[in-house]
Amino acid sequence: MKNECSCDELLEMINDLIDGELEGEKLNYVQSLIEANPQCRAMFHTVSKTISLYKMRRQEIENSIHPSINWENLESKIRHS
Amino acid sequence: MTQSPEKLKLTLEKEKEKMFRIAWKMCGNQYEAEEVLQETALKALKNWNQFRGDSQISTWLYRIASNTCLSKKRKKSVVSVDPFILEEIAHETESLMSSADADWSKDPLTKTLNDELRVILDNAILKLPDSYRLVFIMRDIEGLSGEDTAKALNLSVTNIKVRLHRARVFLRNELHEYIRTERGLS
Repeated sequence: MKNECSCDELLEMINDLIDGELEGEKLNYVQSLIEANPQCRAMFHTVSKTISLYKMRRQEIENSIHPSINWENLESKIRHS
Repeated sequence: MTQSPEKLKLTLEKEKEKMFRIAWKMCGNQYEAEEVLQETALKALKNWNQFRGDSQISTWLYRIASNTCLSKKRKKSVVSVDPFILEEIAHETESLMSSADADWSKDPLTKTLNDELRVILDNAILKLPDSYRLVFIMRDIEGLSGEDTAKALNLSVTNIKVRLHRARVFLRNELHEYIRTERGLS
């Protein structure tokens, strides 16, 4: 792997790592980069944290609100359309 | 081949919570999300004979739900960030990455959700352009695959990936600003 990456490439690799889409040499490269470089590590951790916060928010909605479909109303609308 | 409407009704019942949450995050409120859910079910029932079976029923429903959300949002003319800003997100992020406080992932402010953080999260996602927001909601929040999201939104898988990555970094940067402000660093 090359030694220097642009910020674009770096962000793409960090995102690919989060998605579990890296393997082999590229995976080792990104993992070692994250280990060695505090900025890359910060980006990896904070992007992951951002996703997990949105998942927590989703869980809250899932636990508290149970929407229903008003079949009677829909069937009446279809009959009269 | 026309399929039984019972199959559609079963899928609607199975997917209703996910469609509702996607609509909530798209519209920004529970009331409109409930409207989107009813409208999606109505449109699906009316157009069931046009479903060709070239995707899963759930993917077809997500497409109807996302189009219904977009149409509602157009009527409100809500202002999102310019997609150009997201194309340049990597450059904007470069300076944020180099700051000493760049890693806030273990900051107590982000440990649990409180009312303030909920507002920050909800407002940040509403700033995303529609297609970026839908991609982030479907992929990261609801866990749809890249292929299903691409089919639902009529975009390529590569395009979904690019938008997802940019949306994530944009939201990350919004949270970064919040943490900095709360810590009195900006």
